[in-house]
Amino acid sequence: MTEPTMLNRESALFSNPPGAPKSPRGGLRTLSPWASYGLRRAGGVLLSVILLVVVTFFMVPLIPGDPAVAVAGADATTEQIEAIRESLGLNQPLHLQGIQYVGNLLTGNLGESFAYSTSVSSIIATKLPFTAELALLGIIVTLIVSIPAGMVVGILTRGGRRKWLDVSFGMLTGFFQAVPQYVIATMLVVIFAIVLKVLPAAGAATLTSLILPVVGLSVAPICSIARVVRRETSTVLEQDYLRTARGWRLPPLRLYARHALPNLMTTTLTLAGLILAGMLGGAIIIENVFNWPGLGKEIVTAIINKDYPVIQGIILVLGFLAIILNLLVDVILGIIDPRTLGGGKSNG
Amino acid sequence: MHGRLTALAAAAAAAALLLTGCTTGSTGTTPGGSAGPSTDTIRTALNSDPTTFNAAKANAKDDYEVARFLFDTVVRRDADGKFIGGLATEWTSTATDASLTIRKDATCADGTAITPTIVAKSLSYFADPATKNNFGKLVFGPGQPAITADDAAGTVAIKLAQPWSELIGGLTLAQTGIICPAGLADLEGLAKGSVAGAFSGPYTLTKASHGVSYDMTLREDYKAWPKWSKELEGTPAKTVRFFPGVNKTTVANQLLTGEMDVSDIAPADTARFEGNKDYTVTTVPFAGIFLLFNQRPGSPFTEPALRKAVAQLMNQQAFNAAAYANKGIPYTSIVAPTVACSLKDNSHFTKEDAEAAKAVLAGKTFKMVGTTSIGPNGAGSTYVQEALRAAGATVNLNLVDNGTWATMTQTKPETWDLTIQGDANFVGTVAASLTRIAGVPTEKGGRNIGGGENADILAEIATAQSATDEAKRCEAYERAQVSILEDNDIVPFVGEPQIVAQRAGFSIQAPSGIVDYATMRITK
Repeated sequence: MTEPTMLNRESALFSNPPGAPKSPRGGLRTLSPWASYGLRRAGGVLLSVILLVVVTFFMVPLIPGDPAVAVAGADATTEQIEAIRESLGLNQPLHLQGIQYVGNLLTGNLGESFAYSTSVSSIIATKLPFTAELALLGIIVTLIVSIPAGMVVGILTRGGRRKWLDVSFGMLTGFFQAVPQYVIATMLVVIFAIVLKVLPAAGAATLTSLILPVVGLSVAPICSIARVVRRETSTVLEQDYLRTARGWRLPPLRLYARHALPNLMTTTLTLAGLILAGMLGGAIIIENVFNWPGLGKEIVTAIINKDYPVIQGIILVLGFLAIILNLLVDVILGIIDPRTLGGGKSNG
Repeated sequence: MHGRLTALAAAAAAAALLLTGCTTGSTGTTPGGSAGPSTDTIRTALNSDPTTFNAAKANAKDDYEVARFLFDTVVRRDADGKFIGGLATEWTSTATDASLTIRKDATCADGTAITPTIVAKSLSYFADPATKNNFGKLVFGPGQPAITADDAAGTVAIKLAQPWSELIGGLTLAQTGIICPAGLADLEGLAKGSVAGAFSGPYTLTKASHGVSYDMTLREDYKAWPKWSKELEGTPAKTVRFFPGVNKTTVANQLLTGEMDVSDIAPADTARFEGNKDYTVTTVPFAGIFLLFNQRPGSPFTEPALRKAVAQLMNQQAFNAAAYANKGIPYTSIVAPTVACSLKDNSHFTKEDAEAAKAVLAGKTFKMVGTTSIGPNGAGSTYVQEALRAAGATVNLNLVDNGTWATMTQTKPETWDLTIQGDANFVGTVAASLTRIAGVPTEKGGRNIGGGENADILAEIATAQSATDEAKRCEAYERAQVSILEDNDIVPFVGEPQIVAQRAGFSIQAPSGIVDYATMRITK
């Protein structure tokens, strides 16, 4: 997929941006586009991970409060608190703690929770599937709803047609985009769990427990992506190659699905990747309202408990996932449009 | 291109569906929670995950709650301040000694008979300073007790280091639950709850998924049920399922939709259950809430006139409305009215006098630290700040979470002049609150964060503990309470309500005003 898809006989008529990827610069000039792309991105990922580890290690201890006091609980004596501080290794100089932390990370050890008698890895292994499930279903629902909705409105309103629909769509999506997530979540609980009693209010006991959290998580992203898709659709539909295709009286499904949709995907997938990374790390409100036992809830509890290893572990894992997701999106975009491999911008 | 996109979408969908297999279960209520009461399971919520399953090291409410199911204590608290046998069938006590006769039919979860030696070893482990629990001194008093067993006679003898007449009450605490030999032999496993043979109580921990749920299963061989003065209605659940970390408003939703059976709720949600015949609501005082002054040198509140002026501004009802939606339990002293030897009326409270207070407080500036857990978003502290502002004083309020509050009040006394303290008095004695208010300061190893050590109060506690009869003990305690109230060492507000909602078909008891979670029953 190197260009807007077209019929052979139409190719001469379409505005066809240069299809070949730009040559990479410097020493990478001799490598294939994918190899040089891989090298550059690997360097970027490594740098990001190093930064993530360093920032996480130094940032977390800035949280106000003493972990030893939090662990000791009410009525602990100064002696007990001091003993706990010693056993947690908090009396060691920061640089020694840092060396130990990085050493543990290199062996895949995220440490032991201060508050619970368990390892950080096992806490994350228990909670991550819940968050990942919510985020993946959330992004799937988002894409399934927002792309067709945005395209339909874009098609119906192309060239200034149906102004009322354009305005209504903009107002509606703008409204739901602006409503805070906790308000939407609470309304969903009130309507579907308390009043209609058709869905569970919270928890993860049954598959139906997923419905309300996924809807609550998806509403704002659906609106965001649908608005982008509508705008992109309008732009793409004004391109010469699509005008020509319409002139050839191609069937609508072929016209829009085969020729318009692929050219919307660059922006849409980039945005979806960012939203998915946000959903993985930012479903805290949804997880709390619906008592969904994911990482968002865990990190809030860990912050309250001053449980440094858990906070650091969750931030590291979520940060790493965000880096990988961004990389994945870029790779997908590279597959869709190889011109992006050289760092250039598609016409999408 | 289309093939690739389709494959990507299919892969994402497959991953999500696979994950649903790892997370959501196939059991539970029907959608919308229309199911009736379960026949063998009780579902309840915890504030957070238990920090340990080692009863002797339990130091948070959730730890005590789960310990009550897993470990039996030698004595239990019954109605009207009376005690009944747990693992002990009989007991005698003086101010310095106690003797417990251990029942012969009790066993550990691995079948080991619970002998006096096992009881003595477990209590010795609890009392050992090396165990570093926060409750040893409240149970056994100052010093180290000597605990010995006589298996032939079936008794355990406790000799206290100093007179401490609250021993039997202390032994009702879930933290003193008897840990079987398998648990003491594997303390790491005990803390994780993975040593099944460690449990002496009616339940064993059969599933623990951090942050998700914990299942406890009723032991089929368990016979050591306490003999309550009023027999409990219903049957114990075969499974008790705990959901940790549930927001209290979410719990209320789940109770209303039938997804939860018994659980604590927030005061503001009580109205959703009142008048609803399908729910029973039990309210007891959980912690005394009072305004505490920092009385260390350098703090303005070493000055009695300032403490009195602040007390003259405070209104219990207004605080109750702000912090607990008027569901707080009125206090007449420094402890709950249900505690033995508490003052029976509030005649020793400083009377409200806003004008007199203004004359003293106008133009003054104070540092206040408050926790966000006293009232919604720390509304209790905000009330105090506003009351003082109305009198012309300035209060720089620092509202923080519980962990930060504990750090500041226990280790940084220079950062605050006044605070609101929640006094969870689990042993239910006047001494427990007195030592918190006027005992040894935290910097000297005590429990008093206000720092105002009062030798006269400590002498009254000693008098009460060595008293041979109840009347003399109460006289000493009453003098101490009056002294604290007249000196305005604290300004009592209300008792923080613990409100437990029970769905029709489920019940729980609160003997002597303290919720006993192991009394949860299925009543139909």
